[in-house]
Amino acid sequence: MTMAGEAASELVAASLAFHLNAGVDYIVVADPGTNADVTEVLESFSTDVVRRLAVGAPDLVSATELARRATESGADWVIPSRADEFWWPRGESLTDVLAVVPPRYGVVQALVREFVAEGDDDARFAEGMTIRTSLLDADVPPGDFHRLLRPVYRTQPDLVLDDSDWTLGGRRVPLRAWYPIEVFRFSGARPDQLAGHGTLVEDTRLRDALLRIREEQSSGGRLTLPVPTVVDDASYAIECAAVGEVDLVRLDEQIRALELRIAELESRFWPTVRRSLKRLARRPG
Amino acid sequence: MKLVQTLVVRDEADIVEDHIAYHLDAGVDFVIASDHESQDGTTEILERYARDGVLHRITVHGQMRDGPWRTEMARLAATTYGADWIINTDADEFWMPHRGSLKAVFAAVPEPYGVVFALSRHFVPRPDDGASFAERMTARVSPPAAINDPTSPYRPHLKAAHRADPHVAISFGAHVARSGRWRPLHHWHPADVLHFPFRSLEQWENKGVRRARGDKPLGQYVTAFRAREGGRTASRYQALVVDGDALDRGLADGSLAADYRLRDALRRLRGEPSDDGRAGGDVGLVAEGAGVRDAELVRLERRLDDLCARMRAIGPPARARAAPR
Repeated sequence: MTMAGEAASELVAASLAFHLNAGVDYIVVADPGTNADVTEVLESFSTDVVRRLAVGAPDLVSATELARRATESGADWVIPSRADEFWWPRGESLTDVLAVVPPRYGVVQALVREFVAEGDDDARFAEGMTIRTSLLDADVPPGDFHRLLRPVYRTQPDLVLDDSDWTLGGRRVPLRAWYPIEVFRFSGARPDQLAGHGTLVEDTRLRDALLRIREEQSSGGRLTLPVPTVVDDASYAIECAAVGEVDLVRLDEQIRALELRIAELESRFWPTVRRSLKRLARRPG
Repeated sequence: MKLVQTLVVRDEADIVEDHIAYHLDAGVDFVIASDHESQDGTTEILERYARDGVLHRITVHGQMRDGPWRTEMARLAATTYGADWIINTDADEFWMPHRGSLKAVFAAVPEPYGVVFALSRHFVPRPDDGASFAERMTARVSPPAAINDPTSPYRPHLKAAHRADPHVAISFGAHVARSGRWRPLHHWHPADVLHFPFRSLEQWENKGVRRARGDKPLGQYVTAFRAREGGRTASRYQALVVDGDALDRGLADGSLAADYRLRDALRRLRGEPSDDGRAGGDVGLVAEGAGVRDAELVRLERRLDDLCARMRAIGPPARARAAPR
């Protein structure tokens, strides 16, 4: 996992603990050094699992550079996270969920859940923030769908991350229409700022997981996340279908690009054939 | 009309007896079965039907070659066994027409149409109380939207039946039958395929581990394989089992539907009292039919993504190549 952006130290500490318990093996964090408490948190973890990368400013290191540093650990997948995000697998762990993604897919998309800020007590963000957006019965404007998805990349030589085009012009195949990871985002947004993100529902999964991590750290156990039942998946499928609108727009663009490419190939094919025939005709005998 | 059924089977003694008995009762005249190195008593069950003259058992070895085996059997049905129509099955699938008999359904298809598709209805595993799978598994998935998770056993799909054709080609899983003679009749699903993919911990583990090494290691099988490798088989299977609470929740929100059709049909076969008026086959039929079409669109979309990636690999468009450096 790579982690960029800024957040309160308590949130960063919880995020690192959660992801390391949820199957992430190694986290590279871009630390602008503007918050001494955050730096202290980062340095409190073993460098075997958390690597702090001091940067002058959050945007001075590219996502690609961060990802390359992460892959030096031999990663199969890279999650480019922000400091205020928790990547929740719909399975026992992130490793478990990503390990069964068919090899043809180079990008898995995750569905963003914006958690609503309740009160001003940052120190209790997970315990207090249990209300999030849902796409059940949502009326999301089509132009807003792209904000609801975040990419996870299968590593490859010369990995390039492009936030405006996860597929690198179609060369990297994304898994569409199913999002095996949810991104719980604690950006501090108020309900009125989340228009276009769906309706609000209660969700205590992260709160419960963080409580378990605290309990199990003292007992030496390891976190196993609950696997959704088929009833949960059926409900989730409705939300995935709502997000699928964005794929229809992409589909239209892809078909148009293919049509143009085929037209271009066709326009070169017949002149080539004609030239070859003329050459053959000019040959003696 | 002669209706022939093809079957690919390996170690499914817990269900194959009911499977064959049901289909022979439902109008199938003859069964051709590819027996893939079964060791759990499946072979003996098949041999018993073979001795009765209603089944031809083919022994197949080595790595699973689903499509080629099905194709070979479907062609054999046309060339050697005088089939008019053929249904292609797995041991955990039961073809059940919505109205009338299977033969009546196929007889109603006008030429040149000759490939029709049944809608798979997936039944969920229930807690094992010692009863047979059909007595326990009376709830099926009926999601309001397609579950497009490539690792889910509950993705919507269709199963193909077709008129006899010595040159027919059957796909992996028999979802598609390609024929030069007969046209496919899309969007009309006159029958259901009642599907019981996971029935017990042992069966789930054996099937998953075996198929994860097969010709098409689907995510659902890799999940089972990884669970065994990690010593988590029991807990992972338990997550698949729909217990009483999940059943109540699913029935209430419509993601599960009670369906007693196979249980009642098998009870009738055994001469036991059966029809209690709660068959439940029509519940969710329209939504699931729409879900299959949505899922087919998603599959097309994913294939298009693959094609785009291949096109990109060939090289960038001429405009890009000609761009100034």
